[in-house]
Amino acid sequence: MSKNEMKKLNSTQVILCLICFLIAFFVTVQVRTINKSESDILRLRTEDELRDEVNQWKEMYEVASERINELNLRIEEYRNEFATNDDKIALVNEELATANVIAGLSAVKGRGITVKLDDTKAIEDIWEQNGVYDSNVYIIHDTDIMSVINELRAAGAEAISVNGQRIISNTAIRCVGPLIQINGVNLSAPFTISAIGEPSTMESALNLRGGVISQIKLAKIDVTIEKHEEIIIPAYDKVITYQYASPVQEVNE
Amino acid sequence: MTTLLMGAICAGAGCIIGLYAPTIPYEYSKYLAIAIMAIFDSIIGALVAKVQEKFNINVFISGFFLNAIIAITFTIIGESLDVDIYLAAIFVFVYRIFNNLSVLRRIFIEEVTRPKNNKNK
Repeated sequence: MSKNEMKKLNSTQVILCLICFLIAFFVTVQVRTINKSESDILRLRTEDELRDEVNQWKEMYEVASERINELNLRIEEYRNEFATNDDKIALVNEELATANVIAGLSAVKGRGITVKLDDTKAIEDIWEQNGVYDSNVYIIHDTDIMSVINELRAAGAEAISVNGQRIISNTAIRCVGPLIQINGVNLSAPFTISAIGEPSTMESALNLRGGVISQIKLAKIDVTIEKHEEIIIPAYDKVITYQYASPVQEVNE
Repeated sequence: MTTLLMGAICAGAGCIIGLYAPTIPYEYSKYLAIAIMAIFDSIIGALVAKVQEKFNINVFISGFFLNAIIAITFTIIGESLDVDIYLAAIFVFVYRIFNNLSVLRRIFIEEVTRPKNNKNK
C-alpha cells in the first residue's frame, strides 16, 4: 500500500518537474525573442516611414520639374516672339544658345566615340586562376569612370554623357554601394560613356600604353570603344541653382 | 518539501537552458505566448483543485497539453482567416486564471479567519 503510494507520488513529481522545466524554458525563450525582435521591428518601421517620405518627395519633384518644363517652353515662346521683332535680341538669343551648349543645358550631336565598360564575364576563369573571386577588385568603380572622362576631356571631348546623364561642370560621380551615382541618379553596369569630339584623337588617348584603358583592363573589366559618325548627347535635365556664387564685377582700368 | 525543491531545481534548469537556446523567429512568438498562457492556466487550475482536494493528475496532464494545442490551433486558423482568435484564447486563459485565483483567495481567507473565530469563542 505504502509502496504503491510512493510510486504514484514519484510519477506525479516527475510530471510536475517536467512542467516546471517546460514553463521556465518557454518563458525565457519568449522573453529573449521579444527583446530581440523589438529593436528589429522599430528599425523596420522607421525604414518604411523613410521610404514613404522619399516617394513623396520624388512625386513632388516630378510635379515641379514638369512645371519647370512648361515654364521653359513659355519662355522660349516669348523669346521667339521678341526675336522676330528685334535684331539685338536675336543676337543675344544666339549667344544664349551657345552658352547652353557649353553649360550642357541643350542636347548636342556630332562625331564621337562611345566607351562601354562592363563587369567581367570571366568570373570562372578568375576563380580558377586565383582560387578566390574578390568582387570588389573586379567591379567598375567610380574612379574608373572618372579617369575615362578626364582622359576624354584632355583629348578634346566637347560633350560627355554616362548612361544618358550629361556630365556638366558640377557633376559629381560617386560610389553608392554597388551602383554609381551621377547627377544624383543611380546607374548600374554596363556603363556607356559617350563623348563628342575628334574620334581618333580620343580613341588613341584612351588606348595609350599604360594609359587609362590598360589600367582598367588590369581589373578584368570589359572595355569596348566604338567610333560613331553621329552621337546625340542629351541635355542636363536637372535645375542648376547657384545659391552662393555670384559673378564678380571686375573694374578694368 | 522534496517536490517543491525538485520543481525549483527543474525551473532553474529550464531558465538556464532557455538562456542559451536559440531564439525563435518573431512570427512564431505568438504561438509560444499562447502556449505559456495555457500552461499558466493549467497550473493555477491544478493548484485550486489541489486545495479543494479534487486534484487528478490525469485530468491535469490532459488539460495541460490539450489546452495548449487547441489554443495554438485556433491561433493558426485565425491567422489564415485574418481574425485575431488568439486574443479570445488569451482572454479565456486570463479570465480563468483570475477566477481560479479568486477562488484560491477565498479559500485562503476562510482558512485564516476560521481558527481566530474559534479562539475568540
